[in-house]
Amino acid sequence: MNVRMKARMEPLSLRRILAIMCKELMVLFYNRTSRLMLIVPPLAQIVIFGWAATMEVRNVTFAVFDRDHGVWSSRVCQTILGSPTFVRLIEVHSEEAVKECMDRGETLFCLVFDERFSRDLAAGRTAQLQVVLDGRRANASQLAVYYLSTIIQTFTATQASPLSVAVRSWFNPNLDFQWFFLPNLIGMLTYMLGLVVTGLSVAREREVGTFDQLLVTPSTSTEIALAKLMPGCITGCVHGTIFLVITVFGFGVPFTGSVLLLYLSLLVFALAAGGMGLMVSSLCATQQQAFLGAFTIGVPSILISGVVTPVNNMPAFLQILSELVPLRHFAVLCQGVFLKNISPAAAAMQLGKIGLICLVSVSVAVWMFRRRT
Amino acid sequence: MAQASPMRLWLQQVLALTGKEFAQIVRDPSSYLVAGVLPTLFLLLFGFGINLDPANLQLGICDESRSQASRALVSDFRASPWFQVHEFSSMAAVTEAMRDSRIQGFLHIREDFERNLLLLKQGLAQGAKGGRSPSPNPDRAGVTEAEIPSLQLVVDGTEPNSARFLQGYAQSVLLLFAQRLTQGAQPAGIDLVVRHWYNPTALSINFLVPGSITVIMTLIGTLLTSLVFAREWERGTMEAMLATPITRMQLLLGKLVPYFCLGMFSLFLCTVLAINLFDVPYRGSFAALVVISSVFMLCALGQGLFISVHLRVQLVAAEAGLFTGFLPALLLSGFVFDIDSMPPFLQALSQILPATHFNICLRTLFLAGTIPDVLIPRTLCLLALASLLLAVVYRHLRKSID
Amino acid sequence: MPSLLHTRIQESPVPDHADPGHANPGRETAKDTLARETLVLADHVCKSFGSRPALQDLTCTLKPGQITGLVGPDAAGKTTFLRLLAGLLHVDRGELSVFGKKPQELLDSDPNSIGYMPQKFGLYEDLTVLANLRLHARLRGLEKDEGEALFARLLAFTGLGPFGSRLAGRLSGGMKQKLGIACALLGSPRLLLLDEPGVGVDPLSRRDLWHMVAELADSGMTIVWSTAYLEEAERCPDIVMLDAGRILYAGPPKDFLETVEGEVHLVPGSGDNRADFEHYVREEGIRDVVIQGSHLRLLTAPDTPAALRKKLMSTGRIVPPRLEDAYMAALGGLNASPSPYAAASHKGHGSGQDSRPAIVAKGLTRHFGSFTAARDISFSVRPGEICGLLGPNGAGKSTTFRMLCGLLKPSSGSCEVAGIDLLSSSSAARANMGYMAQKFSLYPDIPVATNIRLFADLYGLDRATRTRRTRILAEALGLEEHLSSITETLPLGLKQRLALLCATLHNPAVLFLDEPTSGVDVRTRRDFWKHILAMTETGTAVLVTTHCMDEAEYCDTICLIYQGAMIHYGTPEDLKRECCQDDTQDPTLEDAFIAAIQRWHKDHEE
Repeated sequence: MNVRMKARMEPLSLRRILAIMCKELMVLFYNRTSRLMLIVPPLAQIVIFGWAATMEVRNVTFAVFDRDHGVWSSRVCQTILGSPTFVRLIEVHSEEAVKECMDRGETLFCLVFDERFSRDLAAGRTAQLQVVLDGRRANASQLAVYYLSTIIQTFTATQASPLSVAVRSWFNPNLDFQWFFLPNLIGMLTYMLGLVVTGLSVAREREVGTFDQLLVTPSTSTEIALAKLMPGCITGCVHGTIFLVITVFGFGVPFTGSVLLLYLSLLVFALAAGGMGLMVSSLCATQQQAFLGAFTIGVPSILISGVVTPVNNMPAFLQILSELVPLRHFAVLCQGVFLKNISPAAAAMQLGKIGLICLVSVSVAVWMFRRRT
Repeated sequence: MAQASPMRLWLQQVLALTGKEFAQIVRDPSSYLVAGVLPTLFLLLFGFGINLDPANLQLGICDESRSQASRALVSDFRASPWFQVHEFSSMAAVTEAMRDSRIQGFLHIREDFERNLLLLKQGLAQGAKGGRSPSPNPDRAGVTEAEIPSLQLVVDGTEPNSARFLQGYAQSVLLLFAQRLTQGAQPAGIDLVVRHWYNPTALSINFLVPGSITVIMTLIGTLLTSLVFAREWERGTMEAMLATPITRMQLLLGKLVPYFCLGMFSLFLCTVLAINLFDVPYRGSFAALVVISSVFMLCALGQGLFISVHLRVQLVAAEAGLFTGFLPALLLSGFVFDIDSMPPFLQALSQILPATHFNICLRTLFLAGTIPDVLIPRTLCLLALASLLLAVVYRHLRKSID
Repeated sequence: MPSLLHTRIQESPVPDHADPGHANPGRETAKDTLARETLVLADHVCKSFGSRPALQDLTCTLKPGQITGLVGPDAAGKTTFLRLLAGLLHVDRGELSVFGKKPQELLDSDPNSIGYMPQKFGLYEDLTVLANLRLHARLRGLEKDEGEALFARLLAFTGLGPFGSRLAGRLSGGMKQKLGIACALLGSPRLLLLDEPGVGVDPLSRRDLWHMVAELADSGMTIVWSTAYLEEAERCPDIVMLDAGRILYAGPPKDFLETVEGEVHLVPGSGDNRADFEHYVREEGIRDVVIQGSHLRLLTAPDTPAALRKKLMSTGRIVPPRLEDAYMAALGGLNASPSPYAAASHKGHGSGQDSRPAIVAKGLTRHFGSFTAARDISFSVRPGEICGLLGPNGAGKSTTFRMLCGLLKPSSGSCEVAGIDLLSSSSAARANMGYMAQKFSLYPDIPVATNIRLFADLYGLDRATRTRRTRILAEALGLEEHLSSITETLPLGLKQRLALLCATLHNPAVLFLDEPTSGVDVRTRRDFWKHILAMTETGTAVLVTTHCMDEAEYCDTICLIYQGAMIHYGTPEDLKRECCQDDTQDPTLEDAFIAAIQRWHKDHEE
């Protein structure tokens, strides 16, 4: 029994951990597939999320059915077209044409001016302007209405409400979607890389047979597990840095907080992601399984982590579940560091949560790893 | 040996291949994952999790007026379905809450709120008597009033989408409050009357669920198909198949038919779930749904087969399947992000994605009905893409291994 | 056609000794008819993949109605040639005809005339045995009832009858191969192509398989059997020997053997095989040395000094040559330079009989669920000793091996390596062992030097030792100029040497070898064993698993595992003596192996 106790306490050799880690990094860069994994997804993400995918609406085409033919209706249309959001106007001349136009989905919405529009305004009455929206694109159309009402309000110059209210937006004065999304992207990327890189590396060794070769050396499975965590963590941090630079200098997103705090949390967060990846790979025999496994865990957890849509919108059980996703806490922290100059107390709170998840995931992963080998 | 007629023999061989494929689907864990677990997971996630309609907006209110009027306003906010109101006693506290993301925005009611309100009331009454019209004046657009408003709405811009919604909802609460205050005296101006066609409640679930069907069918068609082909290469069974008398057409059909059936089955399942579990309306004809989905399924299968003809390792095939099938269907098909808002090159790219066309068709079928003007050109696009892909696959599927 | 197969299987008696070269006179006429149409002709066939040539200028004819052995080490071009014959690949240059047609044309016009079993058997592992057969039958256009009747016969023929509803993936290697052949036979082909049917199969199953195929050939089918084992090829009436894409020899083996007729001497050893081996390897005029039990098998050359020849004649006798001898002669003999391991490994591990055993297995048992893969296995290996772990597939050999090197925890029992308990101080114990896996398992993507460096670090070598050992070993193993190339790009022989280098960099007290030479050519294998023998001289203990019985001859002790238990433990001579008392006076180890297993069955029936 005494001997067995000693076995449990076999000292971890830093040298062996470093040797395996070095090897992991080399393999990562020499292997074509993994090189591709390191380059393509981040590139695709910066293209798609940096410029394309946006929750804002732009380039809107709208239809106008003008039964008024007065001076005010055309003035309204001109003002709307003057804004950068609305770029094209289709004139229609009948109710049927409105319906057809909407059915075909050619326009996001249709403005219908009734006959009395100009007369009402001239007479000082409230004129009615009908907006017909395409419910198939409910989100875009709702945002369009928001823009539209802002334009109409400035147009009439009198507040629609007699109560004047000053509206400010803190942290992101122009409500720029990219300011919200780019910091999140750092988290998303590190998360996915941690999961996939770590998950695949173990499965690849199992498949190729090098794993046995590693296990018969003096290195213990705990050492191997710890060394395996590092490459995903390092690549995650490197990618994080690249994105940080692009976000700040390329897109001009303000960085108000502490860089040190960001890197500390990035490191802990990447470790947590790696731990999850290691768990996945402990359960998988082949790379294909590991990849699908990482995907099955990664994508849903990203979706519920609040980086795409707010956590508050979700049903309660998903909100609770999302607490388990380290990305959720990291995103809050990252947003805070970028835009809000997050307070130390709040930062410590988030960091603590990430750290706790990291601790649990890494120890469970190492345990599973040891059990499996 | 007794010779069967060539046609029967041909059919018999295809049936044998199809049967084998079905038997494998039943036994393969990854087919359960890709065709069973993932679709359910995604449908539930998109149905419940991805919700673009803000609810429970966390609104802070800092009431410095503490008057009857301000309390009335606060209770109006409390009564509204959109907000969860947190009251703060000082600006410092509310600022702190905002910074720590506990609230998404706050309303600051100044001390002079009630006094200003009274002044405003009087002014309105005089204006009504004098018949002065606050006529719209485009020339004054953008000029703010000199008077400092006694209400201030601050939103947290870090989540711009929610911020906009919060702003919009808060203003509509304020408008109602003001209208009650002025006892129905309509202020002049332009009144936007908003109507949502096809989706009167403007629920995002109504368009996200049809969209997620696109994603799921892409997943089955592209990912699963590319995996199974690559698996045959890896295990050497493809070599054994190629040494038998079957032709490439038969080989292709043997793969197409089972996964086509699987895809259509999951379409059926998703549609039933969408209508019954998520209460998404269905207004189109089912025949159109079946026809269009079949064409789309052929596209997705064509893409999957194309990948697998070229990539013979399961891992690489899975990666290719995800990056060319799943991700574009998720991000570029107009499922979550509106296509019109994308830069031109991505708009062009989205037009050659089968998922884009299918997504539009599905939304129309679910929410608007059978509208030939939309469906026919899109279906033709899909048909063209499907035949192109399958033709390429047929050409590339050489009956040899080099 | 199915009726033909029917007669084949019904009529042909199980031959007691397979010799398909001599046709049964009773079926001469049928065979003649087939002979006229069956002909494979290759004329200056070239095939390359990208810039890498796979086959160069291949010219040969395959005779109908017999087994032709296609023999050569891995990557010699065997598979490429078979794929060309099956019509799966196009010929780059030259002419290739099967039954007078181009293979591709044949595949279109009469696809059933060729049966092809690819290397991994081409079975759907997630379908049952019957489902696999049924699929192939329907693809080959067989009618249902006619197919079912054929299945019954094929299942009986292959001995797979009781396993019809078992998943193909859960069959043993030998059974998979039989099923693969059965599937290839469904179209009643005239030409049957088998790609390495003997690989990874124990001697028992291999002999079974051979009988089965010989029967088919007897009835007039033309068979191409590709193999990396020369002794397997030796049984074929005709061989095509490939080396690096070129033909080394084509024709009947006996013509090839004639080249070394009278050059093979069997001389009795002096009692210390290793010393004898060392001695003869360095002797001028000796082209090959193989240990064979208590004797040494020596290959002389025509220019061997007469004095030496006379000496050999006087002590030993001339024996009939084997294909291996001819092959070695054709390649110019073995590499006589001394192994670096003798010089490099100064640090002895304490040789001699008196020191503590290097490997001790005590009552090793392992259960997988309710199945016991290994039961109460105990033995020990002393320093400087080579112990062979033998047994058919699925007998529990690899389970035992994996437990001994710490890859699998035993359910009960213990094992010790270099005096350290493997279970309690696994890391310390593992520091004393080297391991070479069956499949090449170093990191393929990184440079050779990085792989070496990794293992040096893992075994805790200091910088000076690492540099010194790397230099000496790399030079001796011919890896010097490859140190900076990517590991994957090395040819198989070099990879195998690299694996040996990495496993022995730290001069381990114990070396574990898991089928270390499968697929490599004979010369590399000789070299390999030269190094292993040199290492044992310095006191390294070696545990080796192998299917190749020639290799087992190098062992000092043999541990035969069957049905999860150790059924024999002793020297190779013991095994031969014990099992083949009544047989010929010079039984091979393979005969002994099979006899041992048959005897076990006999004992356990009662």
